[in-house]
Amino acid sequence: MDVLDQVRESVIEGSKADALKFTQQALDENIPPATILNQALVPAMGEIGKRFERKECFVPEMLLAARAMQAGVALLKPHMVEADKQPIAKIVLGTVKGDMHDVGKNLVGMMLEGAGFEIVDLGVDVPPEKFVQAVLLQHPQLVGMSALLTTTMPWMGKTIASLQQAGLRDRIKILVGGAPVTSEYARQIGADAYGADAASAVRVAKSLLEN
Amino acid sequence: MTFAELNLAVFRGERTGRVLWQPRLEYWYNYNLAAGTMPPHLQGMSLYDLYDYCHASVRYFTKPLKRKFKTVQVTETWLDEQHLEIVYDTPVGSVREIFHHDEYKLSPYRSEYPIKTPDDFKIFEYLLRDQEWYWDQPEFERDLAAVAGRGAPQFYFPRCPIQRLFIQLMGFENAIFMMSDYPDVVGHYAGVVTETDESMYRVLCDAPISILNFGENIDANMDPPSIWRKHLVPYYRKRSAQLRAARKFTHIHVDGSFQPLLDDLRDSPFDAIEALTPLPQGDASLEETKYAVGDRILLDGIPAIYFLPLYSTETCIEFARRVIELFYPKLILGVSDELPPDGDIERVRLIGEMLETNRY
Repeated sequence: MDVLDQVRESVIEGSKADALKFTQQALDENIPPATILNQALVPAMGEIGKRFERKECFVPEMLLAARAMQAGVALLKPHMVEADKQPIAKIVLGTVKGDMHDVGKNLVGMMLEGAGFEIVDLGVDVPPEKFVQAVLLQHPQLVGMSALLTTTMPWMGKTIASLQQAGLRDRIKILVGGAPVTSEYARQIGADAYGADAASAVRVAKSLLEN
Repeated sequence: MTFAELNLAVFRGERTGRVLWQPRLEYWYNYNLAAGTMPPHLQGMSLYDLYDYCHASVRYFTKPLKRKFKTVQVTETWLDEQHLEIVYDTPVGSVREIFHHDEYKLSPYRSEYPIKTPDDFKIFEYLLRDQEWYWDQPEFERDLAAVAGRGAPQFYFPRCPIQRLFIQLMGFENAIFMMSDYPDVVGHYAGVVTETDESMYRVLCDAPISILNFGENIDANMDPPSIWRKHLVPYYRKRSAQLRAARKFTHIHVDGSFQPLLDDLRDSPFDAIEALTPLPQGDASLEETKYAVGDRILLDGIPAIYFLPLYSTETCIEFARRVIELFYPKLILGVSDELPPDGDIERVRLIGEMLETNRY
């Protein structure tokens, strides 16, 4: 097993310590950081995403894998040239107003980051005006909203309306998710897509970029 | 037959010809009261008046299991309008948690958990060994008198060690990382909880109450089969056996994703499962829900979103009929998991009327 395989395995196994160890070893062996990222760390998260969709692993494994990957990426960043750091797209993420749940959103962020997206995480309890401001300032291609309560779900529609009012709706694609959210609800409020879970969110986000 | 008698009859496996309607209305009632959005025709009603309006039984109305500390000092301080800090001072150190309250102070959420580092577990161990459990009989009798037969007394009590860690003590993400980085520390903690919970279970076994709820808030995203089988089920088997020997009926609260746990739930040691939420809100079909419940009783079963304007009243009622068809007589019908504040109370009443008049 070469060192890139070991980096991949350490992420898949969810070992932060091994991810750090083998990423450093790869750097010491003068493997280009972009290669370590694109041939080991990112594919490892891709594999975890596939296993999650096949129900061969679950959220705890994804969290550990994402943490291991983030540790490896943090080690690479100082060594990466600007060109290597270009994300495939930028996404603004947030849990809507009145809602403090963040595990799902955080996992989506980790998976998207693992897939090459740049994440702007607005946190929780995010009012519509904060999403609007973020779109104005950050120029993302995507906006992702999470809600875990039936009482906070309506803020997704209100946020979309605020983005429309601000003349920003056409600049972005919007995906929504969270336990009470359904694809039907996403359609009704005018979102572009619905993500059933963190792994499918990556697939959905990528497909939105293609359309 | 009162709702309380019907409630117990279901657990005893009796076919009464009736389906007990037991939606949880407390949050709907308290939120709409606080927000000033109570429908005009319901204004002035008490919570129990609302239950009567809906022809519904009350599930949770008493919590006579109490805890006190021998030496630990507990200090509560409002940091601002929304944030309540609770500090537990022990001779070996202090831990702090902060609750974020919404504007109506009905739905607190931990914005800071008490256990943050491996060293905090030592402080928490002191806390666990310092606590004493007791039964408040006068309060129990007052609650029984107030509910006046609208339901059989039952309540939920502290969670199993790992669920407590996930939900109350560390938060899910940090707990997963702690379990991975310091498995011995977490294993020791789980052992101390199991040991110190014995006194609580003695009180529960001796209590004049027949039904007890494991308020675990199970979600397969948090508790996939690997965690369920290794960390949760051994505890549940031990405790269920204790309570069964004391002639108690038990149910467990499973209010999240459960499709990956179908076989495990079917094999679980409880008499009933509460709050299972089928598609389209949950992740398993009604038929899969039936498989998971097996020979047990289902408490609830109608997804909460069916009470929202997003779906028609006909859809809601039809789903209720399907649940009854599939689960009666092993059924206490309700909303999975509670009626949300924007839910249509008239649909709740409609189902209650239907169950008052129909026999099965």
